[in-house]
Amino acid sequence: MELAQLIEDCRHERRSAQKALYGHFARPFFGLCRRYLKNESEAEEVLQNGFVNIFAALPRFEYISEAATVGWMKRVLVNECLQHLRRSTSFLQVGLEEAAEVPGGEDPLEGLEAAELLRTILQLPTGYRTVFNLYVLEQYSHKEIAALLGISEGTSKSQLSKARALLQQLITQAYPGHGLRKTR
Amino acid sequence: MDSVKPDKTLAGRLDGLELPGAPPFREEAVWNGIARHLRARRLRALWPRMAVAALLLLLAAPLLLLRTEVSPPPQARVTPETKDRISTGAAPAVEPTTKTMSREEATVATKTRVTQPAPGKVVVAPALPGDSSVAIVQVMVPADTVPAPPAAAIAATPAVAVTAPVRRFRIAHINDRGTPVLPEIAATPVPDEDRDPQGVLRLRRGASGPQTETEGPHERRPRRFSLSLSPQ
Repeated sequence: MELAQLIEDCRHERRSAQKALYGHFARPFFGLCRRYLKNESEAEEVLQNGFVNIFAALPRFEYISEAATVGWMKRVLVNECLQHLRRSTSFLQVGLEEAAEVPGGEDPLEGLEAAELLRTILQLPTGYRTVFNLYVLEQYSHKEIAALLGISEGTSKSQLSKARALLQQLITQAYPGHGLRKTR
Repeated sequence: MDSVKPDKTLAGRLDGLELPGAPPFREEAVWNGIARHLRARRLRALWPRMAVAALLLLLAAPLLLLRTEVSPPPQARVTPETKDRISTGAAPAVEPTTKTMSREEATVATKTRVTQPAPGKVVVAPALPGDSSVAIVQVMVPADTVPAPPAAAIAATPAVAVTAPVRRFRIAHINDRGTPVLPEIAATPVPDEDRDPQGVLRLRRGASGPQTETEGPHERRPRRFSLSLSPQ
């Protein structure tokens, strides 16, 4: 079934359409939530709340295109993740710590397998990980990130820089051969 | 910092990825939670509607009760036929009581038609023209009584089953129940000669009855006009 038809049926609160929409997007959206949160159970909880919010907001949603619809659903889930992080006390605590400044150079993510990269991202502190996710993977601007997290644009840039440095450090520790692979 | 750039394809690769050794995604359990939330949300949305409906019902209840009190008695009904009895729910205009008649009576009732062409006269005739099983009978009844149609006629009237009783009234006379009596003065025979306009006059004095006296006869005299009016 096409996404437009699914969305239309979900607007009329048809349970089968809601389940089909969930079945189509559950796994990628779970992965999205997992990138922001500490563990799987938290990601499942946020995914559940996010889908409830999506279904609640669908009657007011106007379908334009598939890409726009998926983007809207992702934004709902990202907001849900950020709300969950705000509720937790650990949010941005580590981000305020000083991280060793690493001079700008090559992209530390280059030549890394997806699984290795994900595992490394999950090792980042919450503040760094959030800004990194929002900027690199969700493609938010620093201005948008600052508005979302309630920080200044400068803080957002600094957090991203520190996240990149820590990420490079973690990759070097975890995958000593990474530099060799990259130069090959 | 410049080396870390937004990467759309990377996000796509990571989102569908499951880390080896990580707990599996409990897709069905999450869906059950979503369905439970949606059901609860739908119920919460129903509460205000149910409250409004209950309020409207409470407001409308006195009106409905008032309407029930004012409304006419329920329509006459024919109860289902039992083994050998037929009961009629309501009676016709002349006798507003419930009648129960036997099957034979009901059969007669459906075959006959009772009419009252004149006061004091009742005719029972077949309901269907040419029905030889019913004889035409004319019955004379006292003039000062209004005969009630037989029970058979009640059942034969279609209105019995479908219409409510209609009360009919008639203007009664004070002498309705008594025997009609002519005044004595009107009953006294008048001689033929008195009926002649050219004959003698017999004047009567006193009230009617045995005390009546007759005076006369007197000659009839032609009427004279006064002089002033008579032609010269």
